[in-house]
Amino acid sequence: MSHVSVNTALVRSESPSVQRVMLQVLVALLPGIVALYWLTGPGVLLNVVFACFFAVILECMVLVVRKKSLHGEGTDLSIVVAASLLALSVPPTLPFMHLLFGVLVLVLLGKHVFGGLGQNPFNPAMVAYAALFISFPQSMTLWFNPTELTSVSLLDTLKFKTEVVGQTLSHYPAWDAITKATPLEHLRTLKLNQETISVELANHTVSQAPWIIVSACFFIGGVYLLWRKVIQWQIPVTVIASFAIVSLVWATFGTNSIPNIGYSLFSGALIFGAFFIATDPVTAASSTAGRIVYGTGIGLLAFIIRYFGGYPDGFAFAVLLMNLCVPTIDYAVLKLSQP
Amino acid sequence: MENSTNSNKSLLIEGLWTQNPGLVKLLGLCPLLAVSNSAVNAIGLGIATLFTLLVSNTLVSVFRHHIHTAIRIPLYVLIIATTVTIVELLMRAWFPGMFAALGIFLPLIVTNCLIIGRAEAFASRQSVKQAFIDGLAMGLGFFAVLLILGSAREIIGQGSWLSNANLLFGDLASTWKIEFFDRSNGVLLALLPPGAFIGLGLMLAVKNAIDASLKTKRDTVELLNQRNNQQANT
Amino acid sequence: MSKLLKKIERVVFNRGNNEAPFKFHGGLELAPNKLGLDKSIQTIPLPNELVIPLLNYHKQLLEPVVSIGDHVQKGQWLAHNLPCPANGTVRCLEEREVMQAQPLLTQCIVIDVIVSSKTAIPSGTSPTNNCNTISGYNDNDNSTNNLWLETLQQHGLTGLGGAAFPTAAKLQTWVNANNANTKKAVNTSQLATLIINAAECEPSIACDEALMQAHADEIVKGIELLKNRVQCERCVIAIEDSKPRAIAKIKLALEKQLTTTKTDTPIELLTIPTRYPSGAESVLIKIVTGQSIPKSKLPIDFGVVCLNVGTAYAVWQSYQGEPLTSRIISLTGPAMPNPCNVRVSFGTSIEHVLKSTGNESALKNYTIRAGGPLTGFPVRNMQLPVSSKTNCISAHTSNASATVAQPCIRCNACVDVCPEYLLPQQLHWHISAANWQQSRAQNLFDCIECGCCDVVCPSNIELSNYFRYAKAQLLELDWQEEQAKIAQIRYENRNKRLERLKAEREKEIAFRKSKLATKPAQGENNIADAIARAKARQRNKKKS
Repeated sequence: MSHVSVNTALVRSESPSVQRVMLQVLVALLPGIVALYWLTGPGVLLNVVFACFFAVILECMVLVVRKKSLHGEGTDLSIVVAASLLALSVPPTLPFMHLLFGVLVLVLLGKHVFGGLGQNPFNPAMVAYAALFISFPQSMTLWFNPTELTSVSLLDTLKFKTEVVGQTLSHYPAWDAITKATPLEHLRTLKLNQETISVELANHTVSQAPWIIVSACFFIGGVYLLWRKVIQWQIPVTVIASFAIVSLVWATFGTNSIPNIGYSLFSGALIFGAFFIATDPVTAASSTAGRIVYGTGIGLLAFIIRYFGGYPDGFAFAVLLMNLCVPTIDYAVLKLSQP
Repeated sequence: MENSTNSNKSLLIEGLWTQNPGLVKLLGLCPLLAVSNSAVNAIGLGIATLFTLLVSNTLVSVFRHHIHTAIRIPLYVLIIATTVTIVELLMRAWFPGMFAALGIFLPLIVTNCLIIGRAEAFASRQSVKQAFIDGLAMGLGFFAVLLILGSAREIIGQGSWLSNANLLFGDLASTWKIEFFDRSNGVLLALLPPGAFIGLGLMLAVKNAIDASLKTKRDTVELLNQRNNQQANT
Repeated sequence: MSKLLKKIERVVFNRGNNEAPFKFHGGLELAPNKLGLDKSIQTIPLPNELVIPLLNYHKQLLEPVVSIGDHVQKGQWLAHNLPCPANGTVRCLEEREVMQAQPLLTQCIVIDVIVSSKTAIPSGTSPTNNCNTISGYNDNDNSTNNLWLETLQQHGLTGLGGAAFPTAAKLQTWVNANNANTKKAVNTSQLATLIINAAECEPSIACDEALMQAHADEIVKGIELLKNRVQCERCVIAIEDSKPRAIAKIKLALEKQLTTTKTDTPIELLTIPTRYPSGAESVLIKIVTGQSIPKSKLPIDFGVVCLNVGTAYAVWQSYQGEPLTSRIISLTGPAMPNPCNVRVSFGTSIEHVLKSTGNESALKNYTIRAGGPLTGFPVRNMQLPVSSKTNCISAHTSNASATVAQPCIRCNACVDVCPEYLLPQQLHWHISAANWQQSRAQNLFDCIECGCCDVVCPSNIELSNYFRYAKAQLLELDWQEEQAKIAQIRYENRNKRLERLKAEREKEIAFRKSKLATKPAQGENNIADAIARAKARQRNKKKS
């Protein structure tokens, strides 16, 4: 190596660091976490705390095994961000054992199997989410009905989440309000039963307003990230725009099986995913044009999986599929940009 | 060629570790991945493959001077197919439950490239004894990988080990099942095809890690020896 | 204030086809942090010894034209086109370390300086001062131009921006072209433009700014001279808007110049936004003309020549008969006790520079760096001689590159700041994997090593170091390939030669064989004849 070195300390007003970037993402997640807490009770907080705690311990263990310095990679907070994203994607009722499995997959199969931070081709949080979703379809689709369930105490949640699973929910008479429906889940059930979906129906049966608030909070966090220049505008904008355009076209010219556009945008993981999941720099395309292609692809795939696929919301799968395309996108953009 | 210096021990080591069909040559992955969803299934297919490999290797070696090279492949296939048919009929007669569980993967042993590969690459050039031992070693290597992968997937996926052993070992074996946790808590992913790929990938990684650490150990020993020799010389 | 000035510049000077400065991609807004500009430029006293490396721009060793013990005069050649900075005696010729990023030992001439040498002893070759023969600088025929170029060469004029490219070589093509049309023919869309680079974008370095404040008139005269010599269609001096005092000075000097001479193409003063690395040649050309120069081409291919403002001053000095033997250096940095800008003769050691400016304490207590914070390098040997590349010496309290590099998270911050539209994180990826050719395919050689990516990298990866390393590797590979090709040709030629020889030999053998083939027939005849003769003799004997 040559002996020239840039004296970065001389010209940096504030020193950028991975830790700082990750900290900003965590700050941006706060409004969303608060909204989810308000909506679904203490389960989400327990999820975040548990996932982060266990992920950090596991990360440190792996780093020791891999003979890496704990001061370097151990303190960059990236694993806390990934664990938080996973914890926010799963239902608040998810048993700790299942969440533990998710964190194991996240740290081991999502991140370190590929060589640690910066080397993973897939978004670790979404790898873990997909593994959880496939492994525990029942507990992964168990959500509270937000309108009736703000009174669940911390203790009850804790008890429920630590219970050896396999018990039916009827063991908890106080928890009558537990339903198995997010608005999207509900839509899916209706569709499976060949019922006509009108927006009114969807709106009345499962209240959607609280979910709009959650999405709005994540949106605020995303705008904060944009403002802090932690993420670039291309991915969130193209994800949301492509999803919205296809929904609009389909709702106008297609069958009536798709709810209106506002409903589409603010339900499910779309806003959260567009700002926090798809923008993960490690697994996203790197050039500007590449990011636009990547974001558009995620939007389209999310639309297709959500309304024509086998899962109520396919954002995780859309992200994973597009992660798979990233090297090709980057290569194609490079080739096309060169004369 | 006939008086090859391959000792029986080195053949066994090759089949089980250094040239393991499942972990090194990556042969016969289709049945390996498809049937390894429970320990008993894995044992069933493992035994069937082992038996086929033994018989076909021996027969190919016996007839190696009589088989014209131009038509050797069809003849190998013929030998293997005959063996597989025998295995299939035996299975159907004696272990109908197992036969049903293995399904298409039992007759598909014919196309298992491990078997035809050993016939072509080894048995057709070696003595009967060598070919037999090679078949045994390779079969055991394949069996071991199947068993480990099958056990791991079953334990993680449904929380039990050796369930349905009665299909293979008779009614007595129905009590062999060891249950670790309730099936409803099992990780479904492990039972599904992705689980097989992830499991095999992890096994490969572990094997490579072991090999690497062995190599560094060997290298250090060699280095030390060299240094000692140098010191002795000076 | 600077905005107001900018507006004034527009109104006063932007005429004809002048356009607003073009924007360039990326870059960084860095605090200028320039020190010591309130003091006038002092010339530091000559040291006892001067060390002059015998190296030219292409890293070729020069043949000295003086010998040990010779008395030399200021301006006299030490080697071809290498003027001596002071009067003195040649002490010795030896290997010394020269100021460069990678420590390098090379042949240097060491001169004992005689300060009060009243009676100069002329000896050896002196450069002929052709400037006296050039009557006026509006006189513009080819022979005068060539004479002028020769003078520049003899006066050792190199670029003072940092790369030290020989100025005469840069101007050669243009001066040789007879008129503007030939220059333009290279690229028809582009005006033949002479750009004077006074951006000085790198933080801390203030030597050009100090020069402009002190010698604006001479600079403008130098530019005028250059402009008339090369016959360009457009002449721009570009200054960053963070230097209002220098801009004002230059503006005044330009106005003065306009009143004295009548010209069709006045020198334009272009204030450009303060954004690192606006002073890098390719970036500045982009800012002024909108033209981006690929690395495979030279600016001259697009009808642009870019010279540093210090070089313009040196051109004027050369016209006055003064060879280039000293330059202005910024002494700066957070730990420099007395920051200032001083004129230093080439060959002076860093130690002497710091000692004679009251910065002696910096020598002991702090780390010293040559060059700016982004393109410079740390210096450990304080005896290293100053050269025309040395624009800045700075002192720091600690070695700041102690941070540990973390894995790249592909955050793209480096892509956003890269002025050359590269993908530094991809390049870093390929280089870490020793995938050299791939890094070349991704335009590694377009990298200007400005260091913007290093500054913004959250993982503290020394990206520009990686790029320098990969470039060196690729050049090495190219060299090997070339050698292999030469070897192949040699081998093929040898084979051909051997074949030819073989063929010739075979021909020879065949020829001899054919000769032999005819001979045996004769031989048989001979034998038969001999037998016949013998028989005949026997018969004769019997008969007798």
